[in-house]
Amino acid sequence: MEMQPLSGRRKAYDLTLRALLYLSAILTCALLLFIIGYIFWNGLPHVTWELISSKGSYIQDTIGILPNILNTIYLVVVTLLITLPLGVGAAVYLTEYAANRRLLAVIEFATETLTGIPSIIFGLVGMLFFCNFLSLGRSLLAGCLTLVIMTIPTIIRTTQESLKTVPQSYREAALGLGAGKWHMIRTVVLPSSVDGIVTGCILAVGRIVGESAALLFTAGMGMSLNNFFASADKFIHSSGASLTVALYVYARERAEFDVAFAIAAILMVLTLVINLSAKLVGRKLKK
Amino acid sequence: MNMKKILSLALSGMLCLGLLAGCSDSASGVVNTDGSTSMEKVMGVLIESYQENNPGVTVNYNGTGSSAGITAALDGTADIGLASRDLKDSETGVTAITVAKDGIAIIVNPQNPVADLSVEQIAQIFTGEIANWSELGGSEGQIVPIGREAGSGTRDGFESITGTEDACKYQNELTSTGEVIANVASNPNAIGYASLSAVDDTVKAITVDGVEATEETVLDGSYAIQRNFNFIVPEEGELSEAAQSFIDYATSADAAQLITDAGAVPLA
Repeated sequence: MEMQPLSGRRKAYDLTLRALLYLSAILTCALLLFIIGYIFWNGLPHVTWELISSKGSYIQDTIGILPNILNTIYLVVVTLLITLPLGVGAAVYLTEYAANRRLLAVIEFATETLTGIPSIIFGLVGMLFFCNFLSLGRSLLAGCLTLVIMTIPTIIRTTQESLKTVPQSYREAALGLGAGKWHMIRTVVLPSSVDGIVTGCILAVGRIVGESAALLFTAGMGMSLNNFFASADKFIHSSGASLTVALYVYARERAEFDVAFAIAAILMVLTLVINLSAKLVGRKLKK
Repeated sequence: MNMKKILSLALSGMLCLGLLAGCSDSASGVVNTDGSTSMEKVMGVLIESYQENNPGVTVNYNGTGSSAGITAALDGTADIGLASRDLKDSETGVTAITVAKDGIAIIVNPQNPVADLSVEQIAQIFTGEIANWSELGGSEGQIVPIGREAGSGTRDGFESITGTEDACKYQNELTSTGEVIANVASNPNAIGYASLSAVDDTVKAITVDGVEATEETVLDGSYAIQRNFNFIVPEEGELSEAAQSFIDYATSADAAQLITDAGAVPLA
């Protein structure tokens, strides 16, 4: 059979499509680079040591975001402390213990739906339930509890996925050697799926650091310096703005766009670090 | 082995949290205030100097708007609500404590040559009867009236004094004082209103009926467009010790100079 050269029309068609595909790839990359570049260009020059190491003062007319950095850390740590045991526990139950397939499907569908709900709805529910009904007021604790609800589905999903990849033969071997079910899970199943759990955690941290709408409603915009270790009482009652909420406050309410861009740059770097470490840890633990 | 470590870490974390929960009954050193964005500067300086004298107490400010502040005081999400307007008859269950008076500055872009307007002219601008700056002796240009959202105390004060309730035709309704100022600063044809305490040199505050908005003219009433800065507290139930002491401080003579520095007019 002889090779027929492509007809002119088909050649042109092929070329156009290829050009369009290249164009969309270039546009996407350019857009991304533009956003990253724009934020760093506008933000990095304003990231000063004074900004990130002090608390703002109205009397001296200075701005500092140390309280917001600390609030973000508190939110991450406390939320993870609650969400991790709950989420991993639920995932273990769902993959190892649950016998009712229909119930399982319902729960899995529910967690999947929960991940897709807009965060402002979590904020509204958190505000009405934690702040008003449980009368926690606008406080860091109410913010953490709302974040727990938001991050639990992520933890459950990733843990479940990695639990499912543990070969059935491991379980059978452990049980065959006479291990109890919990002992088997604790010594065989969980250690071999720890990479998934850690990845889930890091994803959750990313979600917490990036969250703003839900926190605006529940943790409020407090700019005071909270020393978690000196007084736990303050952590429970005090409202506190995370970095993202501070970004909102500085950009919208105080019209300090330099500070807003500086915070944006810091958040970008944080996100980058979180994503990279998720990849790295996932790869390392898998070995 | 590794698993045990993680488990014990998680467990000890939960225990710590239990410890936290146990603390919540003791007297709280936290006062959350919530409301008017016009009061941001005044609250900022009051909070800062109060905390210098009372390092054990943390006072927070949430800028959500006057109506939201009144609601927060009612349902307990905040210890003290902040409202840059007086309470309406329908708002029961709370009382207002006036801390300061504040002028509502009428602001235009610094490039705008118009320097004085009467209250009537201002009302006509915001209701759309006067639509071009040339009608007011300015340069040719469509007037862009910028206002605040419906829950704002500044809007309430401005509209009730100029008699333009629900009649204003805004091109833009923004949710904070800072935003209005930033918008007017960037649009040569814009006119807006904002707390006098927040006005900086990025915008020009015009005189109203020939009277400049200053501390004296607000206090003696000759500057017409003004309102009260109020603390809103629930009528029922005791205020926390810390909240009461902050209110006492804010209404004391010690705070007067700070309030003046923040651009508002103290009563004490």
